[in-house]
Amino acid sequence: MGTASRSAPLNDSKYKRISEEIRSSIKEKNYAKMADKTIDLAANLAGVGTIYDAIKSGIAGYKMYQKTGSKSAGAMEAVRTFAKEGITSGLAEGTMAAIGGTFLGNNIGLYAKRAATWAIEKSYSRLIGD
Amino acid sequence: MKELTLNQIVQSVVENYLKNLTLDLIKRNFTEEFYSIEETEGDPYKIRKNIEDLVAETAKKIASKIVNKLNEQDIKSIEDFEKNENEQKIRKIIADILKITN
Repeated sequence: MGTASRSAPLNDSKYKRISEEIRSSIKEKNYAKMADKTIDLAANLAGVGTIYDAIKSGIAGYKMYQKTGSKSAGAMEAVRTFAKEGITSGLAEGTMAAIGGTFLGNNIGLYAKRAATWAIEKSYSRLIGD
Repeated sequence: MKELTLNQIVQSVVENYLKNLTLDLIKRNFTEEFYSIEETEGDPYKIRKNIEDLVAETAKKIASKIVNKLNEQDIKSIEDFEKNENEQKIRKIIADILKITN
């Protein structure tokens, strides 16, 4: 596993096509379609490898929680594991946000916000080839 | 100590990850379109809440589909998930359900 195992960036034409579909659904006020299409875009920007690694990191976090009894140690281990795979620490916070849902109840506001911000910036960077 | 199953971990990670990413994507890229709706309809909070609920609901359904498909293919425990021979199977499940084709 590692950076090389992650999916290639979403190609530009697919990105544009889905974006246009989202814009049309907003104009049509078809918000259910919009939600579907935007999740489709988000998933494609993230890629299979990132989602797979996020789950693996979640498991690593859980194991640490089992070992120590500490929820925050579990969440931190999830972040560390994700970061180890070569992704930025910012995107690793995405895992922390996700894991937070499991370990820390729904109190994930700050982490979730930071995570989404970093994750999306990383995805865009990959998309435009930075 | 809280005991968690593989299903619960996958559900939580995938659901929250997709939800957060999608809501941020909407905020960053499609704000302009929403302004025009908000101006004409005058209830931006309601529209935004409606969309957030729809995204959360869709992310939840997608996560459930992944969990069910993993179980169908006998990937039911953390040990099953971590087996090397299951990695490609799991990646394919994620790609198929999320329609990731890049």
